[in-house]
Amino acid sequence: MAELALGRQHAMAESAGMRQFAWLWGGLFLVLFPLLGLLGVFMRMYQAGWLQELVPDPQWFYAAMTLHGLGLVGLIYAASFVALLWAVSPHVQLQTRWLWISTGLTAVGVVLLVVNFFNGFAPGWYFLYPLPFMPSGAWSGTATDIFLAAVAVLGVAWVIWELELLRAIAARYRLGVALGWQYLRKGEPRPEIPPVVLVATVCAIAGIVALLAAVVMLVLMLVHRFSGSMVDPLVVKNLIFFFGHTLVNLAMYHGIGFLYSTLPKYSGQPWKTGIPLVVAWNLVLLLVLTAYFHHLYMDFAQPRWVNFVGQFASYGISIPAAVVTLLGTLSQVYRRPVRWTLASSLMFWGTMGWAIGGVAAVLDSTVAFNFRFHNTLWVPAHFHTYLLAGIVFITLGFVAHLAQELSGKSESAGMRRTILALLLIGGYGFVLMFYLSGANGVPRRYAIYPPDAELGVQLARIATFFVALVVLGVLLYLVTVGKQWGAALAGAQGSSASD
Amino acid sequence: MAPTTILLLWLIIALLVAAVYIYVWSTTKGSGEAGATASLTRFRKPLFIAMVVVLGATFLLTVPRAPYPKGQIPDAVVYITAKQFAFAQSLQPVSTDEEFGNALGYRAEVPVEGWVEFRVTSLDVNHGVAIFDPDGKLVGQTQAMPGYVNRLFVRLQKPGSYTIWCLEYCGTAHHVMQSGFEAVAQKLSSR
Ligand code: HEM
Ligand SMILES: [Cu+2]
Ligand SMILES: [Cu+2]
Repeated sequence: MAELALGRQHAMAESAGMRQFAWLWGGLFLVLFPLLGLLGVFMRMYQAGWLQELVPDPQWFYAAMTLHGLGLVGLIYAASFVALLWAVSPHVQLQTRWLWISTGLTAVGVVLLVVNFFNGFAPGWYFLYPLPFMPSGAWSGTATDIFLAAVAVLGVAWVIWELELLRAIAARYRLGVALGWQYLRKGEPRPEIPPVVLVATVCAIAGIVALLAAVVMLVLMLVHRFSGSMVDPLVVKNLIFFFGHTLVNLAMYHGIGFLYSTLPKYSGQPWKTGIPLVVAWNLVLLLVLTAYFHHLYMDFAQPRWVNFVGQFASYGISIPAAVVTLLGTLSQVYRRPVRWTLASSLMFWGTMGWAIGGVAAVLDSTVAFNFRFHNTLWVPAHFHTYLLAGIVFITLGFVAHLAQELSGKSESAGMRRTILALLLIGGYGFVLMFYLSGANGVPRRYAIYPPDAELGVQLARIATFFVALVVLGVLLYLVTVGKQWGAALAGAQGSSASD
Repeated sequence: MAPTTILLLWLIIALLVAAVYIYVWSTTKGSGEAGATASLTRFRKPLFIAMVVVLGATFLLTVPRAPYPKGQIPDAVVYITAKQFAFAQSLQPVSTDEEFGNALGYRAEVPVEGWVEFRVTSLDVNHGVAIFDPDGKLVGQTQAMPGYVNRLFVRLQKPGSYTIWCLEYCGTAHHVMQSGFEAVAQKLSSR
């Protein structure tokens, strides 16, 4: 079937614009991910008590935490979105002009955020109103203004490319068709749609809704900024978590869309749309918008039924993930002669991080358990599991896939195994220390642990050992993929010179 | 369930998931009997049913155990007011900076075993009130938010000194924001 024109032709069939675009973002990811990750290394070493003399003011810990969190969430959202666009681009006609405008605006937003790091701006990645306006002297009103400008620019940037994706899908399919509803009727589904189109549609709709919530939040912040009067902090908290939760989840779903279309190239087995897949993703669209309530369980002022809706949605959303995507990934490769490369391996093991982090998330989304887990290190534990060992793996897989596909070069099996072993052992060791801390009541977002939380310091020290393994794994990855990247670039220049 | 029990539960499931992944991965080494479709999709229905049953049962069992007020009559009431970067405890509500300053020196005494109600609010940004028992175990928590009062009911098991740590990031001295109170065997002056 034409839809499943796979393999090396994929790259050939791409418009040159899309290729350049994916290329640029792959490169950006390779540069920014290690830099922002280093801020994390700095934080963990700070918590281990090793840097407090070198950097006596804990404000730098919190400024690093803010840039690390905002930067990596933004980067992983954007990079995984590009992976999704890449995967969906053979099926719909994207206008790269809009994608470039979004990219340019994103760059402006990122520059503003980096400037603000040096302003000591430190309200945390999800900033709780009114903290940005009431920093107790730690940063200036100008820093807060710059931040609001950054949020506005990034909001506009991302609405543009989400809308472009939705437009491109709508130009080819009616919305109900793109959501796969024709599969739920009797008879042959017509037209058939590739899974990545369904996922992209769900992501674009949820993404636009989440970004609209961010706009409303921004307006409320501006009301405070210009009138000086308080707006309702509980309303703003709902908006920020709705936005933040959805953005982080979308990053994973972008990666899954990419996985649906790319893993088959390595397993040789097509991944087709069917009723379970359609039901699953329509359910995801409903549930992803209400699961965020689990961030507000400890706001006892929030209506109680809302919290239980949150628990219900958080439990519910794990079912399509496990039954369709995780089981689907496993059956893709089960007893098949899979072509294991760095790309396909990272994608495969990345889904495991999603599963294991997801289990921890479901436990924490239980109101009764959240009473003792909320804002302990259990939270960074579970999200680093599905971010670092999950979607980052998949995105690293995407970049490796691009590099291999475009250069035709692959790494040695020994190098592949070394990189995977370092990332897996280092990654899981690192998050395990967060889990152990969280279950023992060590708070998250503490630059320095109090003397009676000595355990937090001990576990941070052990964690840095595992972090070192991750750093080594990432370095080897960079060298390996960097070489392929260079070869592909040289090849592209060679071919365009001979055109 | 104790947090360490939940940790153990997570660890067991995580190891199971890892075992499945490693097993499935190990079956991919065979050289090219691509025709041998031993699909795992036959596990879809059982997995679906198992998840619905387990999650449904957990939902029904845990919802009644949510920590929200259930109409208990408190044996003691303590007002906790947060402000960067300290907590004030008092027997009356605190709503101004001056009242906050006056209340700062007070350390509450509450009865063990009975219901203690903490009425929690903030004068500036979001904070969190998390209670740690004399052994450093996290007993429970609620958010402190300006303009709202969150009512936290706890039944303390052990007599001794309890510590309150701020569990919502509230600025660059968040990690030093703490307070404490005593839990004593008989009911005392706090009511
Ligand atoms: C080896 C790599 C990494 C290390 C060592 C690291 C370390 C840390 C540390 C120590 C914290 C603060 C935890 C706390 O006390 O609350 C943190 C927070 C965070 N990290 Fe990472 N991290 C790494 C990778 C990542 C990745 C890949 C992502 C996302 C894709 C990420 C996203 C975040 C976020 C969102 C926060 C929360 C920031 C906040 O609370 O405002 N991290 N990380
Ligand atoms: Cu505080
Ligand atoms: Cu705090």
